[in-house]
Amino acid sequence: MAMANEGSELVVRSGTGRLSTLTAALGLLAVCPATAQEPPKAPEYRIKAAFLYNFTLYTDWPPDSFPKDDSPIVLAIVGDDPFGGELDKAVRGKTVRGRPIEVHRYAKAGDALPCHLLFLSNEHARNLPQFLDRLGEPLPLTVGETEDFTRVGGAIRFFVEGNKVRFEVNTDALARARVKMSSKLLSLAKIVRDTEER
Amino acid sequence: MSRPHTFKSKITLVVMATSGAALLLAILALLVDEYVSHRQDAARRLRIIAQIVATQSSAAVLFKDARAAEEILGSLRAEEELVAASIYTVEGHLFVRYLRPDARPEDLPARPGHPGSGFRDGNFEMFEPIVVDQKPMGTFYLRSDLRQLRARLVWNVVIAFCVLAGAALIAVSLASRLLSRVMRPILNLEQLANTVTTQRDYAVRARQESDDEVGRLVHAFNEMLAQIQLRDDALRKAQGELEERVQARTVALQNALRELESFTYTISHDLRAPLRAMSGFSRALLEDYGSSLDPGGREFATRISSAAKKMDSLILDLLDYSRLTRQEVKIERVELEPLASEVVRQMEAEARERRATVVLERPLPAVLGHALTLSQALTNLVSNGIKFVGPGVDPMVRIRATRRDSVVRIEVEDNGIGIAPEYHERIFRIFERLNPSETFPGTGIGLAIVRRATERMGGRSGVESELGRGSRFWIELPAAPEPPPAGTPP
Repeated sequence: MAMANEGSELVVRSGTGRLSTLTAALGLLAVCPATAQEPPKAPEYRIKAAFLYNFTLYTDWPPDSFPKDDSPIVLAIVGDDPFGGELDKAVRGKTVRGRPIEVHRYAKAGDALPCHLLFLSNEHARNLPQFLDRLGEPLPLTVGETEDFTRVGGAIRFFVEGNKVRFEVNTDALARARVKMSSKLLSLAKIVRDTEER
Repeated sequence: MSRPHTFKSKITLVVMATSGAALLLAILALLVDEYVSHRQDAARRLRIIAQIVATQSSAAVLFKDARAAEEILGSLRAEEELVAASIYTVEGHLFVRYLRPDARPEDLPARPGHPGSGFRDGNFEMFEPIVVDQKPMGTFYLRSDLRQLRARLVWNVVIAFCVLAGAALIAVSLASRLLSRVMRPILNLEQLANTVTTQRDYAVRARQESDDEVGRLVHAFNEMLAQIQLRDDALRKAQGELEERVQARTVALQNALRELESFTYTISHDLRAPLRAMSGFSRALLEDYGSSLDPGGREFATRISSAAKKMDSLILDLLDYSRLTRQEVKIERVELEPLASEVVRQMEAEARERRATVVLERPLPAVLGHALTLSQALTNLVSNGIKFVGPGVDPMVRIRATRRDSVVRIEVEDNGIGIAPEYHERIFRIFERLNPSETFPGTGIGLAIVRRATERMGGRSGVESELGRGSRFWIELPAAPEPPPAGTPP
């Protein structure tokens, strides 16, 4: 599995290089979105819940973050849960690389036990720096929705652009969390760094 | 196409046909192999591309990011052979598509098919599942028209035929040169055989250049020539010896003949002296002492005289015959008319005596011959004509001559006793007599003289006759050319 991941990452890198060159050189594309066949629009947080699950597919956490080979990937939500039951629905019965997925909810940031992906509601996201200081190793992959979330140290931020849910990734935060995210995923994301001015 | 005529061109054709067929087969095999392997290469390459795109586009499909998926499909533009490509969601809906400018939307399947690849209508088609963490997330589809493969095939065929043409040219020139070397001894042999046939030169030999079949042929040919030469030499030698022998014999014979003739002449000449004495003294005995002899004595003396006279005429004839053989006969123009007139005039006395008539049928042409010899022959013929007649018949002799082309035929016709056909040749031999000399006096040399005379003048003689119906003797001589016109100096 590790071999396959490395292989696919290599391939994707070269493909991305060609893609950017081509896009720059040709400008216009014969590709067009098949809007007619697209399924009906899902509610925003159902999409976001699906995204959270999808992130786990393209992310590798450090091995020491799992006590056992079949330890679950833990998704934690701190504060109000905007997903309702959507997140539980999205991950139910699913596994990633043989690991089940568990969803934990905490009222306060301080309650949060070690987890792999941490979704912060807006009220907690605003105090992110202080919150991060209080979290012990290993750091989870933090996801938020506030406008400066990634600039203040968050890893992934959801935002809506042109009626579509998109996301932003701070690669420095990924490094701090010792998380490897597939370039396939990164190619879909808007990339930011700590120092970068928005 | 005309059939090749020379041995060399036949061999060249054989070489070209076999090597051309082999080369064609090899090229065809190469072409097929090339096409198949390139088709497999193309399929492999397209499968890799499909796998790359499927892997690469998984996140975009998963996150429903059409723009990112479009970008990935857009990168396929570099593959000119790709007609169309598309991504289907896991639910089977068309998500994004790529169409080459000349492709139509109908070229894409409406729904994803089963994973796999294959050639259809000369196109390569493939459905590749998009898998994330072993879970199907969608399907990637691509179709290639293998345009380059076909262009390459055409190009390969063109090159193959160029190579074939070039190889044929080289093979022809090479075969021509090599065959020239191989054929040279054979051609030399042919030339030599011609030389031997036309010039009958058996001393020539072919040069043996190799030990192969041709070399052995040359060797055998030379052996054959050597044997022919040996036989030819032996034959030539035998012929030469034979000729020498014949010549020696001829010379010996000629000498013997000349001696014999000389002997005959001498004897004849010397015999006349005692004969004259016998003749003269027997006549003197009759004239001077006839009155003193009784009738019996006179009878004996008369017989002696008559025998001597007869013998003298015999000897004279022999001398004539001998002279005809020995003397030089100069061939020149002879006017037949005066010559024949003279002969008739000389025979007048004898003719009167035998109540004979000699008719000369004029005109008579000129011939090529010897006047004296011809005169002698003619005299003998007329004399015979007067002499050999049946009892109580008055001899009638006609002399005529006719010219036919370049030959003049002189005929002496009589009404005599005639000659049986079986004797027509015999009578021309010396001392051949058909009748007893008591009935027809003569020496038996006359016709031999005629035959010898005509032969010496380059003519012929003969007789047409039947027993009791007279004879027609003839002499043929070359006609004299027309005399030059009067007034022209000779």
